[in-house]
Amino acid sequence: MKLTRSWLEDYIDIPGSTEDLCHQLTMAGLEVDDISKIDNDDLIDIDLTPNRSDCLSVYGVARELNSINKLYKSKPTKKNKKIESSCKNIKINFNISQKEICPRYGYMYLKNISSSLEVPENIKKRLENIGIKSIHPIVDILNYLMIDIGQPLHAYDADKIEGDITVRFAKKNEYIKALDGNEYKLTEKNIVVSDSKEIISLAGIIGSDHCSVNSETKNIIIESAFFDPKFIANKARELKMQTESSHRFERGVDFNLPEEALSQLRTIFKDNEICECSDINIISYTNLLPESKEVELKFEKISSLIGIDISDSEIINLLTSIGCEYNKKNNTIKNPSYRFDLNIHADYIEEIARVYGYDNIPIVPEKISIQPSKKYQTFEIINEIKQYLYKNSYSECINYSFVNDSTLENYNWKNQEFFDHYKISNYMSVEQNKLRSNLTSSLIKNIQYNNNVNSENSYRFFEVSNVFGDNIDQVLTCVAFGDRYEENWSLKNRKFDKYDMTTIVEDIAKIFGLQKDELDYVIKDTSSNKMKFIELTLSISNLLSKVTKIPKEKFVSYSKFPYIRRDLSFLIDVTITYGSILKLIEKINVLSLKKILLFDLYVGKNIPADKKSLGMGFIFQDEAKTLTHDQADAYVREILEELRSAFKIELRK
Amino acid sequence: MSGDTLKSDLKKVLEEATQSIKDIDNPSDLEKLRVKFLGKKSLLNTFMKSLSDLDNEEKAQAGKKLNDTKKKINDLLGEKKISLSKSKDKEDDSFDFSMPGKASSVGSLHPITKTMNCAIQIFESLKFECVEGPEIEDEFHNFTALNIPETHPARAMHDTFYLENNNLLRTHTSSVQVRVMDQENPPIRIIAPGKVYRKDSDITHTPMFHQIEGLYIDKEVSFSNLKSIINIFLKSFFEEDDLKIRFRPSYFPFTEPSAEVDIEYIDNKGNKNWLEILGCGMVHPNVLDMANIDSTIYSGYAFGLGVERLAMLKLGITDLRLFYENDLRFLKQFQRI
Repeated sequence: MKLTRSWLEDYIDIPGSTEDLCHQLTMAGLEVDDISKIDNDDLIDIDLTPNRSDCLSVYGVARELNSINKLYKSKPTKKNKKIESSCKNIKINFNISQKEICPRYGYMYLKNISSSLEVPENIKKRLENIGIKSIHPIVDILNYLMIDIGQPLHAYDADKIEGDITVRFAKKNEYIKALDGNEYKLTEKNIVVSDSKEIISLAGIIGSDHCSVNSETKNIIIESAFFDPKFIANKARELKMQTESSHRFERGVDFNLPEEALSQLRTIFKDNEICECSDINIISYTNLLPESKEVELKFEKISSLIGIDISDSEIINLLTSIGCEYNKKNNTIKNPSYRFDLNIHADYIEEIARVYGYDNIPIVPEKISIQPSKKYQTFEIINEIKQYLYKNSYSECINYSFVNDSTLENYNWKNQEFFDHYKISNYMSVEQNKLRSNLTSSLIKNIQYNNNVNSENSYRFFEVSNVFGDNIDQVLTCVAFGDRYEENWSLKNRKFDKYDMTTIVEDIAKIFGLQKDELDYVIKDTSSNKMKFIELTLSISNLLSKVTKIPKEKFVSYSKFPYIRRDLSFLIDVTITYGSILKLIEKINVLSLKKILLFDLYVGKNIPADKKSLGMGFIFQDEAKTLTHDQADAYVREILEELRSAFKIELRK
Repeated sequence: MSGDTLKSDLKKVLEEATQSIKDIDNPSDLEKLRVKFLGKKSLLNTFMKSLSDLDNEEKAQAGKKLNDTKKKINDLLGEKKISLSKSKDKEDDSFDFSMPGKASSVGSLHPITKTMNCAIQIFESLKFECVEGPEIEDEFHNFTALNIPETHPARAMHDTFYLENNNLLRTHTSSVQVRVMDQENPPIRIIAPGKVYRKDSDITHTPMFHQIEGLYIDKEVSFSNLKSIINIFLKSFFEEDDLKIRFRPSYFPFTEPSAEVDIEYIDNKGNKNWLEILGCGMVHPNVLDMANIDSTIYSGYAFGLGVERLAMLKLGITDLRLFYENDLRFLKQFQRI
């Protein structure tokens, strides 16, 4: 809502600076976006919240200023002069078919409009200053009055209208060619004004092209109506448009304005000798006008919810200062006709807080009982993982949840082919038309982008996010590319491989007291654009379900006797997994075997192609006595025998 | 002995000691020097003994000067000792202090994560429990239960991403409020961080961004409590006790009274401006009633923070789009814990 200081001064005294005035507007909830100088005047741009339709006019803003601060004294209102009609009413019947949608309809007939008509200078200037384009002298005056007092008005070319005028719901598949040049297809929920032949306007939103006023127009019908906001709300938006008129009607226009607007219009026409005017005609169904609701005031609730000490009489004064009526007998309050936002008790609490001034409300610390706060598992677990990764050379990325149609997207996080994506029906671009089912593709894109602009020899990225596949899972994905270590002067470098990801899984398992096998994860490599990426994806949802079940940490005593280590190097079929070896040894159940470690894995030269060489270390320690070397050797023999018979291993010399 | 002669004597001793310590190149000679300047038979000790000849006031002054000199010599000896031990290493294994280490293993946390963590920690210290809600929501939890009527502009297709099954991507974390109120009885004191989506993309908007929702429902929760918690949070988050904060009336369908909160900041030219930082208010009775919480007994406040906005202000980031470009030159700036 744009207006100028001098225009406001039609209605109120402004003793201070425009900056002060704007500060007070802002602090009253009418946020001033901008103040600028124009023609020795100050142009004020207010960003109104949708509940304050009463301030969609200069008069409304002045009324608000006067009610929040009595320094803005109101000036005596212009008395509308008694004006004799200068022409007869037009012979048209007006017919409101659904009275609840339009409980008040005013109109007036204008005759003999001169083609050389000009808009009065002061009106022209004001419209220009607030950036409203000139269209036609009469339309300009109607726009002026709408900005001035808030009543949207419409002008029809009277000579184009055939037969009677009806306000009704549109019929299915009816069209209007509007004066913006577009054709709109209507539904039975749209309200229209029509003559006997066609629709002459989309009620309260826009007129038809056919009946619009132009330089050849001789005679005009002015419409000044009250349309119930609930029938106008959203209608313009559904047709992808918004007009000054729809903006006001859908938020609520004071139903006392239609007559007032026509009466002020007559004064302007008369004072400026613009044209002949008929009497004002008002069709009114008073019982269908929005009713002011009586709301009982609960003084205690008001002061306790806001947190202020305020007397009953102060509360009543605050509310009456903004135009509400207090009924002492019933202890009820009633909203003025221009405040569509005051309906329930909470609305009045808000008004009291607002007019009292948010700045004046004290800061009161709350009394909360001191209890140990419940630990939020997901957040803390994710945070621990992020901290671990960040301290282990990974950088966190955050990507949009939307993706495009690239082939990398056609997998779920478990690396299974997936095409059943959540699709966005009203996407902004095809690049963002569905929700991602894995994080790998996003991180690969991040690496490819960085590889083009940065000079690193390797990239290690991770992201934690929801993925939208067969299920919605929260997952961690790490993607690495290039050398294992940053370029440096000493460490022998090598490429990343999948076992680097195994380390991460093991570490995460350890951090949460779990075994690697209990986690739900995938390690794989992916090629894209001739680059090879190593990837780990781990289900956080699964981790979370496991973590809640693990027992508390407990100390276990350990042996005080010395340990003995024995190493075995042997050849075994490549296909036999390390896990199956461990499982077998576990089955033997050597109580003194405390630890197994793998110190070597070799495939290649000097070894048959279907074999691998493993080097395993065994640490033995007895709980109750010093272990003898003979005993340790016996254990190793036992293990060796089992391995031989199960896997046909060959010892290496 | 007069105060003046003592002063010049001390100066001489200090000069001599400074020079001798500088010339020493091995630890055993350094020990000899320590005995010479600070030992029982040292000049300083002799001076100390002669202090008894002075009157009380002079004694105090001279004593202080003596002690200062002793301390200076002691510090010089200490420094020399450390530097000798370092150069010893150098001789032994040619270890070079100035060499870079082998590969570094510090990565980085995304500034959004860091900002969220910081905010969450503050709220947890204020006894808020951190909860999560789904990113794919239905109209009821995202709109209806928050008193956002069917005709509200936010429901229009141009603000909300709808999925093909008529669900939607949540437009705010306020939807988590509804889910928590469904499941728990007051008192409720939660924050809900997470991703939210709006159909908007330009210099100041990204189609996905992050919010933290806060909700407190109990008996006798007041707007003045809300002012308090927001004040505590913002001052703590920006680490500025004198931060200027103002509450301004605003409008949200799910709170009443509603407020927008501005903080004062000083721009490059030194001008003071107010900058909108968050929206908040008292939970609308319709929202409580819809969640079967008796609004005549309970009241509550709610607030919503934009994480990107907080991060930009705190870290001095000027372009919103940097957050989602994931350029290492950006990410690696945030290596601190």
